[in-house]
Amino acid sequence: MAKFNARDRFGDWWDQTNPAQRTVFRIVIIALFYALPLLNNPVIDTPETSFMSVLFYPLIMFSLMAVGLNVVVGKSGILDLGYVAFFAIGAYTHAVMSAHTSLNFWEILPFAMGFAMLAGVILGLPALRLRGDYLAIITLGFGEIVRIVAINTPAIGGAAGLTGIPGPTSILLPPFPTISVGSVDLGIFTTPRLHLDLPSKIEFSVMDPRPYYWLTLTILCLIIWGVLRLTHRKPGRAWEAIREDEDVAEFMGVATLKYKLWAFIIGGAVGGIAGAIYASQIRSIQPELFTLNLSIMILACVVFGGMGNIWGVILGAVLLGYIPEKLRFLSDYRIIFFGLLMVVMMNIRPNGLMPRKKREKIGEKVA
Amino acid sequence: MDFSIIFSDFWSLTIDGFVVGAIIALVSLGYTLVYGVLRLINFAHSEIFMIGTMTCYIVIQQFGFTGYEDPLPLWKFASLFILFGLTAAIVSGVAAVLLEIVAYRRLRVLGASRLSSLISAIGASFFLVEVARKLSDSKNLDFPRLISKEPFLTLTGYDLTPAKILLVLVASIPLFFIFRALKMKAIIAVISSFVTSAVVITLGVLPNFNFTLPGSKSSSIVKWFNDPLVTSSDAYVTADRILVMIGAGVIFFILNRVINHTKLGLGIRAVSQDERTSILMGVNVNRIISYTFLLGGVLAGLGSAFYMVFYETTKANVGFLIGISAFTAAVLGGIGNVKGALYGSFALGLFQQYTSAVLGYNWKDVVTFVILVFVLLVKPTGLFGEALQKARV
Repeated sequence: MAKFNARDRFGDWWDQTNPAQRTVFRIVIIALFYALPLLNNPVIDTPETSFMSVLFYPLIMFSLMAVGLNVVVGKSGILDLGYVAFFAIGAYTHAVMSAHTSLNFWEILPFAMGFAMLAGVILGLPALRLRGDYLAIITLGFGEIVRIVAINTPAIGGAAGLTGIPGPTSILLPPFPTISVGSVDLGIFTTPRLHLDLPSKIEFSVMDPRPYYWLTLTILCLIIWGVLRLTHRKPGRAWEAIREDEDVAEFMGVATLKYKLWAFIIGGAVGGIAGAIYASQIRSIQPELFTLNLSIMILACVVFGGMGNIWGVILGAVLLGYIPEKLRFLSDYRIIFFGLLMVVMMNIRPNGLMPRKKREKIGEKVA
Repeated sequence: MDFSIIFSDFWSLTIDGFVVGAIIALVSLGYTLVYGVLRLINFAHSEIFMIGTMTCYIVIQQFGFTGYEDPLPLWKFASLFILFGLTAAIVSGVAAVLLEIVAYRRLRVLGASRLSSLISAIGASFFLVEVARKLSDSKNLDFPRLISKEPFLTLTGYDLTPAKILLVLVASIPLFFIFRALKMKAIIAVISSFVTSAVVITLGVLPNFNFTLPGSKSSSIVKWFNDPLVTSSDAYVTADRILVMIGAGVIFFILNRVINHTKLGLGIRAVSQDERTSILMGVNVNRIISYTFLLGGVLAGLGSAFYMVFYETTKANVGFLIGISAFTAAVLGGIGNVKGALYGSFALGLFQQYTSAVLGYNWKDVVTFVILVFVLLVKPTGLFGEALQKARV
């Protein structure tokens, strides 16, 4: 019996579409995601917490980080248990630089990314020579080291953390004419009155998480685009070769250390960006926000959704971020339920909800 | 950074290091045994330890201790300790076996990737921690004081002079050759000869040893040799520390017998060496894996009993920190290697005590990880190699 496989069904459909249809499909999906905070649907709404803030954290933040971690874990098969370190570095970069320099969020963002990449090089150069569980524990250690150093360094706030972090400065929008169409009586029904009045600027205020969501979504789209480009080119093939068999990849002339390092750096950069945005939204950060649990949570998103498949990973992030919020009516029992769900899901679909499509291999033996 | 504290408090730090190391070792053996047979990190093992501590607490609750009584007489304590220790061992062992059935077995049969098992184990770990948090109401559960924490033994302080250091070094040379004659590995012989002579000399066998040269009584060199570099304070050994060290020693001895001299141990070694071949040789792999989890769980349960006597408190996420330490220790010694886990745990326990004395308690984990990274870069299979099957006596 052929199992129902959403990915393959969708893949078959996708293969039959023409470029115009694909563009329309992409635009519709992206527009849907942009419109998500404007919807007020009781089915998807989360009880007890505002859906808009849930959309920002954890949903879109988890998605962004999961896409970054997917490059490391899913694409090149490097088990990273300390991904939160890059997130923390990004957050602290924004917090410290905005306090000590006159740079604003947009100017700091490249620095946050750069420092996270630098951390990736510093950790990756020695650590990526190791493999498997040893690499896992070194990355785990790195994540803990960053957190403990933050706790014990008074210059960056110590255990109390940093407060009063500024948000991003407003984005000025080009002047846009107000569109106003009155309701038209068509006999059968009356069209609603359409009034589109774009604000002159997007303000990032403390109260409204929606702009942060849109900002993160924009960055996420860019990163997905970039990662997909890379996947189809030489780095992507090198990562896949390394993931499947590192020794063979090396014999075939793949510069394994170089490509592993690049995967690590790209993953780190995404984590750094996510951290900076996160810090700018919540306005105060403490080291306790960046515990091992968060690393594991993001890793769970990647594995739960389906390692290596970027859409599966996002699905995993959305579900793992959303389910605990949706379960708030279970109050204290929600994490219990959540843990059970993880066990059950992994038992039902060990390769995740939407695993990556296996390339056809000649003479592939069934393990 | 005040390094002199290591010397002045050397013995109390060392004893605590061994005690902590023994507790870590009991947990890390579970990691390493499971890694040996399954080649995966049992992420929920720290929760098995937590279940053990909770069991100890519940058993003790049944006796109505409030924690304000005088410590018990020794025979009463011993019988009580055996009671809750064994209960914790059984409960933890059964929990570990159930964990394997629920979180690992089906994934193993399906041949899923190791990361899937990891996530499944993380889910189980979340579940167990949250159930415990719910049951304990997120509170610290304090264990009553069952055994006196008054000094049981006192190691008197000493002056460490260059003359004594020289004596230690000189004395360790013949010891080294004796150890080598006993077929010890070179590196272990170096360390143990040095440690043995240091123990014998600093513990006051030669408390007033002075260095003299004939004819030059007041030479400044002689004076330098006899001036104390550091003065060590007295170290107090409490009964619970002695209990942990002796108890852990007995357990390690029994474990060694089990691994090396029983059919079960033979099966565990066979499966860790080559699972497919051991199936062909008639080993029931599923049963061996269950027994391995049982063994790891029992060790963690016993460790939790010692932990409760030593630290006297538990909470829902008690397993996290000790789990990380135990995992680190297992990797340090070479994961999959039983002896390595032991040595790694004691090394880590001692190291944590020294560094937390010098740098402050907060930095000890950082230094631990930095050392770990360094060790792995220099010798990626851990200090003692990673193969269980090679750990034959």
